Amino acid sequence: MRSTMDASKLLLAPLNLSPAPLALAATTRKPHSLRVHSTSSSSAAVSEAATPSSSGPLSLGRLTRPDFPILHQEVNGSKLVYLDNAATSQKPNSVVNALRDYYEGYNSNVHRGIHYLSARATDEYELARKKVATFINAEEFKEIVFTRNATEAINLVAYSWGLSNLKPQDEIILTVAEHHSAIVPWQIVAKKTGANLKFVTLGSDEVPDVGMLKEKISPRTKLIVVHHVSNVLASMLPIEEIAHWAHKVGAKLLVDACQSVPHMVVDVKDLNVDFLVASSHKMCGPTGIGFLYGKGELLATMPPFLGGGEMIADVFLDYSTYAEPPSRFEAGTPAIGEAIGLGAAIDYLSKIGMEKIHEYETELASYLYESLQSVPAVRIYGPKPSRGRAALCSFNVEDIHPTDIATFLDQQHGVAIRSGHHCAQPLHRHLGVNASARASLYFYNTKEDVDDFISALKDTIGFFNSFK
Amino acid sequence: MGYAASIVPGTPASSPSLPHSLLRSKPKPNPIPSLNLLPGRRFPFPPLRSFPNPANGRRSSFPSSAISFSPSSPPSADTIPSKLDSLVSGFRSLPQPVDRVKRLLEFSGSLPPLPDAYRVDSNRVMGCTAQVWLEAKLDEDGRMRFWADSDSEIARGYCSCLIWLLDGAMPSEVLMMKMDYLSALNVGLPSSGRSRVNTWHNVLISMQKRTKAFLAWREGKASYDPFPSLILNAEGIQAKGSYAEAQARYLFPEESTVKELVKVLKEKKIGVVAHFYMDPEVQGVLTAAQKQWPHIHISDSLVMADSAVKMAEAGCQFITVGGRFYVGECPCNP
Repeated sequence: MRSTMDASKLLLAPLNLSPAPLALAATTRKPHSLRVHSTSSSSAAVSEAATPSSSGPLSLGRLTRPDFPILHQEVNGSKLVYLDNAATSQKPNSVVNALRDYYEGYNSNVHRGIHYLSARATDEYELARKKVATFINAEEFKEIVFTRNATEAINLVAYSWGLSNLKPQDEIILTVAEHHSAIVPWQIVAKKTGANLKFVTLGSDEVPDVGMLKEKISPRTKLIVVHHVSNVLASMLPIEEIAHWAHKVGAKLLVDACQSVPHMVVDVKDLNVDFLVASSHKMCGPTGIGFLYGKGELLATMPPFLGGGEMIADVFLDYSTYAEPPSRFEAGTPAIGEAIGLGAAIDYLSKIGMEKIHEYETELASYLYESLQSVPAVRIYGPKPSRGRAALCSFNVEDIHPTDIATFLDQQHGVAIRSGHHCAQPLHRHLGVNASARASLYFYNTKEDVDDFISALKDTIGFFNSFK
Repeated sequence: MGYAASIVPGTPASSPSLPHSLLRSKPKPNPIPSLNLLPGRRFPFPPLRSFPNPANGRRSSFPSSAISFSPSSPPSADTIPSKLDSLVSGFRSLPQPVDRVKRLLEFSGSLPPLPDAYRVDSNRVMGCTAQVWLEAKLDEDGRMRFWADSDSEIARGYCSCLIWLLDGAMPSEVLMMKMDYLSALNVGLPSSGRSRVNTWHNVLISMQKRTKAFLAWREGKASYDPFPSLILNAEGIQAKGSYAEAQARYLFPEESTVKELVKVLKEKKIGVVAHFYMDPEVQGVLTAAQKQWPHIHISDSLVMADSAVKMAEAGCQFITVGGRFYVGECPCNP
């Protein structure tokens, strides 16, 4: 047996045991009332006391936290600090109650029944659809197709619109920063149709090079697929301009708005997109529901995606005729309760106001970026805040693997961040890294959350560095 | 000395303590070391197993260097069970999670370097959020050799523990290691589940897959298990594929079992009717017994009933029914 001296010695060697938790009081988080708040001097307007400011008891985060019971718990002996909102958001009481009310009060299959419960369920379900349409300023509610999530919505466009419109040598333009769900369906469909994918890389400021995108557009371009806000770089793309360039050559524009719809005003008419997708679970709604927005006249030309009940008009043995959009693309019993839950989430967000949410998050975004930047050996990806950033930071610490950081943050400090490639492997490859850590905020986070994260991060870095 | 000692829980870890094996009073007659993983649960290393070797029809056993599991020799402190014991109790004695992470990082520091030639894509362990490379070889003594590395310190710590446990182990020892034994180390994520981030699981599974491949190659088999089938040719009928082979073995049951059954049946004049859905093991025994005692019949329910009547008419005093669990009716006893 080969010598295992070194490892055996480890078990023999004395271990410098850490002091018990009480002795670590100096480094654990103090209750918030003991902190001294410093008001932010960032660009956002913080005027009257009536307007929520981002620090102090009236900040939007402080105001809304009581609506989210899940945030008030301990993990691994520390208070939970949830900073993984780009992965999924938490749900307020009103959304949870809406789901319960549905199942307790009027659960019934929609569109089919003639009885009271069914009529009520149908009304609420269609009302949810209208709420989504209003939320993004769609022309009419028929332009909203409910899907399982944004990924399914993109697949719908790929298999329905893509397969029947793309021909050999046609081109689809994407960026290297797209989420896998915006890339993979197009790889599949391109292979089937003979179309080609063209990728736009990052510019010097670590944002997709919009100039390169414009240059790649040609008469062969049939579709452009871009994110509105990047889930890794936190950058935003100028959708209105891109839509203009696309339409000049007769191409369509599909926008992945998963990271924008929950955080800011998104107006599909202003943006003039052809398709837009988002997921409910990132905007305080339940999982299992998302939507595709498509221009009415465009949806009308598209063949069905999934076949089955609900999407048909008449069914014979050897052929069927299909329903009008949106039903044409909604086969089978939908996620009724979930759609109603999404409607409740939209009500909740609208009550706060998307402008207010965006304003608050812009301040938080700067605070997060600057605090993180001040930690030595940290490298943040994406543009500087002056260029406009979402309230998230993907980063790496020199010589420490992001998974180690995330593991220690969770175990020792109850801070939840994400580590990995965040469904953006091409982007990470382009940046030259295997993985990154990511902290992402939502309107119920506060500056105190950021402070807790930063002090925990410093402790984590110190811990791993002590082993080098 | 060179063997591992475990830190006795509850005592300050200022000096090394005696190995567990020396603290036990004397070697037990059946010295399979038990771990305190779960109350009353013994470390389930099975007794020395042998695998049938279809090539020569004779049962072959593992090389005698695997004696550590046989009842005749005392446990060596170098055996995997004792190492696992030390590892687990060493970690369990550290109640603070941060200390377990420290211990893991110390293990990471002692991981032998991975030769560059092994740091290739084909050695990547799938499913880890960090990058993990694993190289495996079978050496001339028939032992498995492993090398590993990762860009994550915690993952390196896991790899180091696994390598310390299994590098140089016999293939059977590698295959007998289970996830459950290692989850007691409880560093990082509390769940032992099959999530993508579970490095332990992924590396161990990888080690075991490679070991199986080497075993198959060594025994001249294909590295995949052929689809279970019955091969019919001029020479006869042959089972192929591990499942089919297992089933075929039931056609040649233990002589002693059959003899004993026939003795009882004859003595007490018992007829046996059994359903087709009975376990193949049972049917194998019954079919063999039928050659010596005619009042045994395997069939469907209807014929079972008819046969039972005939057996009663032929003089059987009792009828034993081997039925399906939910078959409520049974032929009446005479």
